[in-house]
Amino acid sequence: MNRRKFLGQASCAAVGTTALVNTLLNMRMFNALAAPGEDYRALVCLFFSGGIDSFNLLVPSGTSEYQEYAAVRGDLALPQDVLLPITPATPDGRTYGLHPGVAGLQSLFGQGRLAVVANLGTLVEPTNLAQFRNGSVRLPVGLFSHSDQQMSWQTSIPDQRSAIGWAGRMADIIQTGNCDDNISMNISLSGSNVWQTGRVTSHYTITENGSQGLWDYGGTSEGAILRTEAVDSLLALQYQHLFERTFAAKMRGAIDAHLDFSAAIAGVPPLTTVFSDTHLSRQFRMIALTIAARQALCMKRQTFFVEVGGWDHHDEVLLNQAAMLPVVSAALSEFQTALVELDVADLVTTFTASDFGRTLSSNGRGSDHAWGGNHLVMGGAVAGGDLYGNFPSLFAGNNLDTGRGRLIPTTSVDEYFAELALWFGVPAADLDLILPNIGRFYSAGTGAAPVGFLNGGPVPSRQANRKLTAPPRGRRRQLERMRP
Amino acid sequence: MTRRGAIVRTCLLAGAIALPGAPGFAATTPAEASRFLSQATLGADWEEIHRTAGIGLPAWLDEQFERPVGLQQPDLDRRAQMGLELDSEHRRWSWWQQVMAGPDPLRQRVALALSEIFVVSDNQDAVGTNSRGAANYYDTLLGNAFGNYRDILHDVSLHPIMGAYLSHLRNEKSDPRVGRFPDENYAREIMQLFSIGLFRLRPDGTLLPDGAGRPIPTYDNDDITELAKVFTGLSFASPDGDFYEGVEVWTEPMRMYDAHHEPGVKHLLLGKYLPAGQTGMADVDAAIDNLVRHPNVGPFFARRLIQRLVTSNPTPRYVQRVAAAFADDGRGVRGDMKAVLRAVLLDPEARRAPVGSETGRGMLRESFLRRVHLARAFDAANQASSYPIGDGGAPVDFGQRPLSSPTVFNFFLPDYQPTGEIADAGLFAPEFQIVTAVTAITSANELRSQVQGVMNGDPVEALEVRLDLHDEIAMAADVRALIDRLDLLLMADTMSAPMKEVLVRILERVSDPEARAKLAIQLISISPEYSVLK
Repeated sequence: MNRRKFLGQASCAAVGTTALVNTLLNMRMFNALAAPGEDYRALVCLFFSGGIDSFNLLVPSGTSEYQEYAAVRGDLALPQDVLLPITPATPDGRTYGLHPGVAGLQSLFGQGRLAVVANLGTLVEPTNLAQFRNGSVRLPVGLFSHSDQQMSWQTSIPDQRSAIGWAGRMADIIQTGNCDDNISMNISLSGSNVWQTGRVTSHYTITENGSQGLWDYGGTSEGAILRTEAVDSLLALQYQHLFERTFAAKMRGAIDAHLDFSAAIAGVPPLTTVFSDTHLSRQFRMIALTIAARQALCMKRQTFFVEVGGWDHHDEVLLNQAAMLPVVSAALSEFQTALVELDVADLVTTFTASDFGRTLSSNGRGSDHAWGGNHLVMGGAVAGGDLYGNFPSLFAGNNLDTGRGRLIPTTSVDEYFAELALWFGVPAADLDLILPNIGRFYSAGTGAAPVGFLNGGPVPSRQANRKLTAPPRGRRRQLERMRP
Repeated sequence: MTRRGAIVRTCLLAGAIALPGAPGFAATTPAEASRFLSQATLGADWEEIHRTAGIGLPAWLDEQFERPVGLQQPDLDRRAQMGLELDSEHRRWSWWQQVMAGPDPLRQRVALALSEIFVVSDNQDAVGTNSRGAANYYDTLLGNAFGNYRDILHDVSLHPIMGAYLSHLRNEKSDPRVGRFPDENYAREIMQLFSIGLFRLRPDGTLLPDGAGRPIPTYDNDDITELAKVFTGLSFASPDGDFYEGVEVWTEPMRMYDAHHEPGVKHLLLGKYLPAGQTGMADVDAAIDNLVRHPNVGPFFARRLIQRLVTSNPTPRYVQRVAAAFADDGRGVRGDMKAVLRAVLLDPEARRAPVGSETGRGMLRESFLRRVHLARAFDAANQASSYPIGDGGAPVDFGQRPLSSPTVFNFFLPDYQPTGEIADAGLFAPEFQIVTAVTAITSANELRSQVQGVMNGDPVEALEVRLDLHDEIAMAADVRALIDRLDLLLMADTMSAPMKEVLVRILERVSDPEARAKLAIQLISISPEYSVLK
């Protein structure tokens, strides 16, 4: 989209104060991002709901560390000789292996397209064991509870209960000038979620098959014409009740969005990349197709949310992960292959998230809710083939162990998300609008990356972002009022 | 004044409750009966609405409390005896059978609500493959729906389907030699989701803050690990008495195997503890009593039940009145479900007729329950008086299907707020969590298909379940009369004049009576006004 066209759309969209603020920020960002290459970025969140036992995804494989792992995990320990070896680019004196079911991920790691971030989790502020024990530190609300920790991961505000997620906050501020107000820059393959819910901008939901249309709507038969008129008339009535008005708006938006979305997807040439016949792979295929349709949808920034459930393995961790992780590994590998095919590998970054890590100790073939866990970041912009954060000691009673191997995270989700948000194009000066607690963990002024797993590369460097001036005071106050 | 006169006067002042059978009283209006039955049942037909209006709402409740239980498991047992296959689909057939033809509409409604609080799901293999067990679990909810909350919590906790779903079945005591600890899953969820919730509540359900204004957790992780010890040693009630390898008995409560139960003292909430040396089942009973006595339970459970049946946003006073009925049914009994249900359904806040200026009143109808409502309002049936309705696509199309929640957190969270005006107004709207750009459309398509054709794709025509629209088709020549009838039947006479005008304008262009009646019902069923139960 050229600048004139963008301006035209932006001014049409600027009907309210918030929209106006967005538009001003949009312009600032778009100017700043006039970097070489296509100005497009997408973040893809793969959410392992239920709390993945990720200390069986990334396992220390050297003899002494493995023994420590095997001792604490008991009947949950993977055999040492089945681990898929990986060699992080930055040596830390230890060797590591991946779960035997993720050969595709091992290969991506070897190609430098996949990074692992160790012992990541929700923190209100930097926390050590003594502080945890003596209560001198604020802890996430509902620590160890599924619903609360899913919320905390998705809001990145673990000290509050909020329905506004950090991708939603990004969309509120940098919602790009897309063609269709009904198609958010945030697209969910897994229905409602907090991460993509903003104060004014929510997500657009599709399935593995794309968008859904009302039967006969817009058809040319006599019956279809009548139905179309009836639906339009019912949805156009002035409703006083907030629930009725919201329902009508959702239905109206869904009907209209489908017309544009389905047309855009229909214009995408077929992918040659072959995807497995699993729900997850089909969902990633649809994300690839949506990214391929970005110009028809006028998208310059997008997020995608995919949830894969069933990781709450209080029982049979080994059997279940052996069945489930290969599905994940295949889907991620196929997606990355498709992104290369579409020549957008550098423009799309995929990351994993989950409710929490799980206890290192066993409850008898299962593990329970815990805290810190290991996660994956994939993409052409990722400084892959390396391990980030600090892989902890695993022995029972170590200096991060709050009991049963519930480890205090050593990297906060704020830092993890800050790295992603900066790459996505959030100006460093505005990072705290997206991640309000980030200042407790990271100072944007230092020039250092929050975690370090993303390259500058063809995307505008964080150096460039930092050069941006902060918004004028008044405008910043307006933005701050939009905070949760 | 006579005693009877005093009662009548009191009832008149209360506004909505009329004395049944009193001379000269129409117990209540058909509109009010229709609205009440939308809350208290999964749908009512024309006759039931008018019958209820005649006897009045309290009398209707009293009558329902005495009805026999429409159980699911017997249907499945019959299939098993005939050597027929049994899977989740057949359990859903028996769900429909009882919902449509069972003797107990209130009980069926309440059991569904309980199944969305005490959640198990057939998306987990153990629940999905043991259909008799899952039906027995649902029957446990049906059987206790008018009983006592304590029995619900107890029976749910000991049910092998729950034991499998939340993994306290065959939960072994700790073994320090191999570093094994009791499974914490059930200990956590019974507190967070089934009884007391995460934070201390006032009697009216609002958060009780600490001195600094922060919520006060009801338990910490040490409380979880302690309660986890209580829920050890439970396994199938198998005749061979083998904790690990015994025969899987899915339709009887789990049995305690004391050799596998964590010994020793265990701490409970409220400063209580369990002494060492008592049986495992004594531990379980005392721990459940400990939770039932917690002051949070009344307001916690009251809000959940009100949200399932009446409104997403009860006032604190409403919650408090229901919580008070939970605390004491008037005869000193705590947790009496009849008292709780009377309090929920007859409360002035539930009974006051909707007013246009109340723009946050009521609740969005649960997505799937629109389908059930249409079936019941129009007496869906086939020639065999059976309901072989599998609902295979419902989890995707409606985002919902009974006993198929994605997780133990139900299809939607009690505090869900959709982006926009509802959240801005500080209101909750749980059911909106499953209304997406996908389900808003696919559910509308499914409702259309239900009205247009059949509710199941059975290859045998005699088994196809269809709505009975004879009365509506017979009167369809008079468009306004048709709309008025549907307004009372489906919307409790709340349809706005502008909506009626749209329907009249559209329907007048359809001359065939059957096509006209069907289009009318389809349009109402996907309309914003119908979708909100006010």
